[in-house]
Amino acid sequence: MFIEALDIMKIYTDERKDIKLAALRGIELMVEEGSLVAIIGPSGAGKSTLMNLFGAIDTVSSGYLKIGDHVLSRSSIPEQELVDFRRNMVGFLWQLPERNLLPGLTAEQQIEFPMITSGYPRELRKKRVNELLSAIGLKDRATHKPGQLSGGEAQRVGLAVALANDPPLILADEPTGELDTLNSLKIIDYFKELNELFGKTMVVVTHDHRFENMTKAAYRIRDGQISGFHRAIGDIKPDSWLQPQREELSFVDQYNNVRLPDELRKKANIGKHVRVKLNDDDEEHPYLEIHGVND
Amino acid sequence: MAVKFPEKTFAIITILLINLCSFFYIVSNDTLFEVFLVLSIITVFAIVLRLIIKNGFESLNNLTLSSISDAIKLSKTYLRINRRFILVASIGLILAIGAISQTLFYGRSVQVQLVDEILDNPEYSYEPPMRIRMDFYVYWDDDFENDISVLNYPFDLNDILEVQADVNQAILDTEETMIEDHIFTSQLSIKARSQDYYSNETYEPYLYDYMLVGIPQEQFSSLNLPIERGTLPNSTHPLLLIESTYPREYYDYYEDVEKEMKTEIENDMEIALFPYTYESNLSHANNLSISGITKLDTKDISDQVSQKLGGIFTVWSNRKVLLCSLENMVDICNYFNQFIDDQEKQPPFYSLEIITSIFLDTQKLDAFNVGKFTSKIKIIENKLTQSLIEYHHAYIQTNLKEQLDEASDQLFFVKSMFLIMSIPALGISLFLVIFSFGLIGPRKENLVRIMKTRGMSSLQVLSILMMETLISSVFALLIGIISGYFLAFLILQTSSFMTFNEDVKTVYLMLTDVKIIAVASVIISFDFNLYNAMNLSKVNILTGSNPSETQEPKWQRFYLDILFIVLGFIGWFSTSYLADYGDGGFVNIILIIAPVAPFAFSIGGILFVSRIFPHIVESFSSVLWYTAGGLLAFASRALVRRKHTASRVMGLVAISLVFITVSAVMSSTIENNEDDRKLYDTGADMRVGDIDISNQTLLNRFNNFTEFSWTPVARIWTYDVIASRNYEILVINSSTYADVAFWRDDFSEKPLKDLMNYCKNESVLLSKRDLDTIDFKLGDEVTLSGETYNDTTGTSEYLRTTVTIGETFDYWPNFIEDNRHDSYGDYYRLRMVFDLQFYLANNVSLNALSYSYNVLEDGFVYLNVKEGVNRTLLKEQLLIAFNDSSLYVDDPFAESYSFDANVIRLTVYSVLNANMIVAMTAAILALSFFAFMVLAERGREIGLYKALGMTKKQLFLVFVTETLVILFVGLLIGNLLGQIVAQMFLSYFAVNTPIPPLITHLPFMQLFIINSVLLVGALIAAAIPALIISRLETGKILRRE
Repeated sequence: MFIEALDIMKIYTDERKDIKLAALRGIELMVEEGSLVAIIGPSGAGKSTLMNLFGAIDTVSSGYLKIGDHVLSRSSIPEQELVDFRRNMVGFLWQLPERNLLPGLTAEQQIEFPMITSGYPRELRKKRVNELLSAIGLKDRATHKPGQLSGGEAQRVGLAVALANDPPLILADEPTGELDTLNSLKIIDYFKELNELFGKTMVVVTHDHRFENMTKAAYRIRDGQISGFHRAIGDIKPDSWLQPQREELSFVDQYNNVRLPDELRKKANIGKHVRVKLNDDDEEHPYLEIHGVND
Repeated sequence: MAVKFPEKTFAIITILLINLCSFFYIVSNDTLFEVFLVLSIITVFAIVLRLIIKNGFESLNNLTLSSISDAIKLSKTYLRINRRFILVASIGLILAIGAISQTLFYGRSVQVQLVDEILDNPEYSYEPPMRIRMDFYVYWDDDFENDISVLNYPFDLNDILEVQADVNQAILDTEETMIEDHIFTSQLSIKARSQDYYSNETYEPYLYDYMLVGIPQEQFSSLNLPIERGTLPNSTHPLLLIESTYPREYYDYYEDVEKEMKTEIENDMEIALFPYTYESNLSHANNLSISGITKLDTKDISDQVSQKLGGIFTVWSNRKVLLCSLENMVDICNYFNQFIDDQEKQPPFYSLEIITSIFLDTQKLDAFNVGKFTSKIKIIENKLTQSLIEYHHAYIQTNLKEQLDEASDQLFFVKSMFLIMSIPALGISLFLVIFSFGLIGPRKENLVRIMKTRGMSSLQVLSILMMETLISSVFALLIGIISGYFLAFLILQTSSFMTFNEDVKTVYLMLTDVKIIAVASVIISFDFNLYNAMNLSKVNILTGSNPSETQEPKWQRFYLDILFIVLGFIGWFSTSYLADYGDGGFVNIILIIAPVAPFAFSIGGILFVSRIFPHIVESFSSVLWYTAGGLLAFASRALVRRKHTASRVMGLVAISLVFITVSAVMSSTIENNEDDRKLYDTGADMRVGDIDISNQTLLNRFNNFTEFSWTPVARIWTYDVIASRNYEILVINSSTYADVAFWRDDFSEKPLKDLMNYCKNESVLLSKRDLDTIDFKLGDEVTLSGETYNDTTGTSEYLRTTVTIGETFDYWPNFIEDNRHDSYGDYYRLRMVFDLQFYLANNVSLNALSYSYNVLEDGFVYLNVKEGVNRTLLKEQLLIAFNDSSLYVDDPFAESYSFDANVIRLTVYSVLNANMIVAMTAAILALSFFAFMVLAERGREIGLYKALGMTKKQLFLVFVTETLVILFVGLLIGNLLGQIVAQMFLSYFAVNTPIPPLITHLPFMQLFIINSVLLVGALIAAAIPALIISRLETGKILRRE
């Protein structure tokens, strides 16, 4: 597994109100190398917090987090290791272009910047800039500055910047949040294309439900917990993002907790307690029956 | 194993070293520290480069050429990203550097003025600061042959050389660098004279009186000075010929003889003039022969030289200096020998006087090294005196020490004054530096976050920020020096509040000053930026998204302000203690603390007011919101949201105004107090007394004068008429006694009417003394009396003639033939004086309207002179009018006139002016700064306002109102605090001069003008951004955010 997250907790301190808030409570997540994974959830679910943890921008409060060979859940990580991790392991794409792109630099320079920081030789940088620009299809916009790019273009340049140092992991936080439908679909397409082209592990955090059909696997996150799993039955056809054969799964964590979708719980009229019953009439396929209890 | 290079520690140590070196360099001006400083800066630069390159903790082996270029590229990229902030961040630094450089340039210029003034002062007779004089006597007489050994100091060229060498060696021994640093040039002057031993009659052939060898200091180092190493100059050396002045006692003694001799001796010196070029091989093509040099005055030579050479000669200081070369210096000695041979039958005693003069480079003198320098001069003097007298009959003449001591005192005063008064300018600038950091900080933080996300380490960020510091320092240094130069120029031209001098004074730019400014800017820039950069480099990527704002407890936020205010008050009260209790040990301590008190108080006060300002605005806006409503309420609400920036700007406006008010109050008080003191001492402007006559008689005389209404007076006279008819007419304005017109013309063509018209009044008044006052009208006939003087007989003859006022003056007396003839042929010499006044008014042109008078019991008549009256002339005329030798007129104000023209006075006013200008600029800058930050930061808010339906006009008004509220509060507080602080300063100054009491003069008009200028300036500064804001399109703003 490329990303191994076991029972991750993240607790923030709100100093003004003098209380502690748990943003993540027991996240369990496994991502294979080279896969494109979406983490979908409403705002406030802890998506961005998870993203920051994956990117080594923030540290976990408890739990185990390993990305590649780096164990990020250690209590103290040397600053240099974090810098190396951000440089070589991970590329970020944020929701807002101004968080992705530096003002006043052309698209070319934006892409070159992380590479200069990491000390790549000039020839390599030039080659890679060209490669990435043609990959995102913005070769003719190479000398344009952020203000001269449209929202979609800026996001594509941001994606190229994230890919610049050739990191094995790309983290995208609401990449389509600011875009219209057409541009969003384009960006989603680019994710798929680049995932196949470069073979990167890509984790996309979004509330955009269109992503769930685009990836092989999409986690649902709610209230700081992984609540479900959305996956395709069979292979995804590369030429289409519409995949009818998909299923929705609930998540059972290592402590045997099951997370039920809201609507199912309401429909089944489940309150605080449930009655769980094992139905093993069919011995080959036993299943659990969950009955709501009227308290 | 590669050893880790501790860059971080090393960088911190080096930066500390930079600070130390800079400090010592500025204090001592020593080259050693300069070298250290440059080395430290290079080291820091290298470390910064290395840090940027550094990719992980690898060994130094990585350092390649391409990685260096990458590091520079990274910094360049960052600068490109950050370019919009560089100017903003540099404004404070530019202002600070501007203030420092203005101080230095101005100080230097004043110093040059001052030293020049002292050295040019006629009271000091020696033009060159130091002379080594050497007399050689040669005489032969049979009777005295045996005594030669006693008195004879035989003339020998080698002696001159030896003395020269001795002098130079002594100087070199004392301190070699002194020559390079301070000694302008040395000169040699040779003068020969003969003397009749028996009759003691002296003849001075006036052989040479040329000051030789003087190279303007710019070229000093590039030339091998002939006399510097004890050798005489030869024809290849470019030399300066300057007009010489004698030591006073010699001049007095030989004055009469000289006059005679000057014309008698034929002197055919050949002087070759060379255009001065930097090339060493001088062309002889421009040789100019001047015969009989002694007959030409300097101006003639100067004209000839400039004609011949096209003006390529240098004028050093304000002394007349010509660039030329003497054909051969040794010839002077030969000439002297020749002279002795030729004069064999003449009086038998001959002497040769050789003077070596050492000049100073006055530009390099300053208050701090002048003392050091004089002590060195003293050492040289002592060293030389003994050996010279013993072996060469030579001695040193110098009053340099006295001159320099005086210069030193004055310079010290000027410099301290300037340093103290430039504190406000510096303070405001530094405030602006910090202020701009505060404004730009958040934006920079965002950039740093992005860069860190892209894998930049904290060290790399720090290094890039330091690189930016370096570049922006250079940028700020350049602009700062230029602006400082112009400020210094501006200030140098002003003599009083908004009054410009008539003559343009030059600003002296010196390398040393520029170096000091550079060092100071390095300190300011590095120290301020270092702290800032360190904080920025440690920025957490997440900080922005997860705010954790902590507030300090309230008591902590106020303690600094309270401390300052208390310190200020203690200082203030202690000065009143001083006034009561004179001196003593405790008083000395207070004397040191007291001057700091006003600064402490003003800073504390401003800090305090800035802190409570948001609360005031908040309550004000609440009141408005619930009562009046409207735009003002809205604007004040908006201000509450921006209270931190607003209170800073308000503080800056207030502090600027404090210093402006202090400057204005102090300058007006100093000026008025000077007059107050004089009046207090004497009770009047002028005091007239007479020991011979009684009180009443004196008063009666004044009463007589008072009855007159005086009119313009013309004084006409002819002089030394040689075949032409020249007149001089002086017209005096009767009310001010100033010369209003001066004719010097052939009177036959100029009607007297012109003169009368010029005088406006068509009447000329006669003296009351004759008791027949005649009032002339045009057409009246006046009898003029004159005197002709016959040169031949030595007799004079009185003449009388009648002239008609308004008609052509065509009276011309008969010439008396003069017996003397010269090359012009026969001529008549007539000396005739027509003193119209003498006859008409007995030379009295006293205007009783120009003063009022009263008598006190002590028997003096006290005059209060009207404004604008020329006191010197009034005094003169009083003495003439009374025609009484026992009368005396006491004019204490004459002293204050000399003070008026004093360099120190001008400096004091200029400094105060400078403060006003700088403070005003800073205040307006701060306000426009605030307004532009509004434009940059509040896009979304503006968009929202527009979306809510605010019109352009309303939006414009809201933003202008915001700025105006800040401005008004700032002005109010600044004016109030300024008055208090000015009082504090003045009470300190009053400590040693309690009598007469120091009365504060509030310059209402000045303050009104300043406040208005500030208001208008700030309004314009605020209106432009507000106009831009109101014209923005809603969609554009919202999209941009």
